[in-house]
Amino acid sequence: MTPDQAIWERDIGAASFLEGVARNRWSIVSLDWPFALFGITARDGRIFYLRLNFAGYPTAPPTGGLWDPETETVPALNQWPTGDAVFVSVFNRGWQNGLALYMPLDRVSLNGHHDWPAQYPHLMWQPDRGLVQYIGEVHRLLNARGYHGITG
Amino acid sequence: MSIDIFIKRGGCLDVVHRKVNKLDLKKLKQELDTEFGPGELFAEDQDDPVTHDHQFKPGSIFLHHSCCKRIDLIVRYAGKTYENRFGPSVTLKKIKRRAEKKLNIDPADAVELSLQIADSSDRPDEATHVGSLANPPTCSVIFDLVPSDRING
Repeated sequence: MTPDQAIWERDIGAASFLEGVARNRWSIVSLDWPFALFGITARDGRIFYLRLNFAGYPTAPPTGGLWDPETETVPALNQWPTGDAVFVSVFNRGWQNGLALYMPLDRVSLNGHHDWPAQYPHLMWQPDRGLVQYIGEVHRLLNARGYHGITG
Repeated sequence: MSIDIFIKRGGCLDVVHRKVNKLDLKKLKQELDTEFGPGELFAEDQDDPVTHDHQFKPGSIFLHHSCCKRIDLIVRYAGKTYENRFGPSVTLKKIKRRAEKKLNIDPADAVELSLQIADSSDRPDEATHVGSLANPPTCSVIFDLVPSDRING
């Protein structure tokens, strides 16, 4: 097992992650290192699947986006969540073909956005806080007023 | 069948997880007092400490251990303030809802707001207990209600 996977395994058993499971906020669905698939519960009870690449964890932030485990691809447009301007700025299917969420916590999205650390300091990756930062932000958005369900 | 207990505490964002076969609140409190110093044990979103025979709903149990019995709270928004006192186990989700109501913020009109700790850029998770953000000497915390960011650039 590589060091990044060993730390990830530790964090998936940590109280901060298990608390989210106990609150039915999220669950771990599968692991095919460095990819992990999570189920995230939205405020309407719908489960969205989030596939993250944890290579280099926890020094490097994860990257990834919504996923359809049946088709093994990014969800079709009619299964993609929609919402207000704040929501769709992050869940932007046009960005990276839907393979990365457009937010500073995402490794790929952060790349090249040199102003984001100053603009969004609360959304900067903190290795000591680990993976609950990313999935917690996705859960927050899917449970905010700005989430309006799916288009389909 | 085992019971999952998640314990948060005063002035600290760490979460303690215990798995027990039988809930013994008296013993648990004694253990926490020994580990973290004397305090009271609160059920989540309750203002008063639990008694040793407190009955919980089936499922996981969320507790707070703190020497602060009340947290003095100020929420600032658009030049207005909301002040109140809460038990330390009250979640930020509940506080935000209460503050929005008292500050006459219409949920239908408002963009999503977050509680941000005053003089910082920290926006703790809504499941955070307010007591975890209040250091025991002062037992107080100040928040600003800020809009969620539309990510640009």
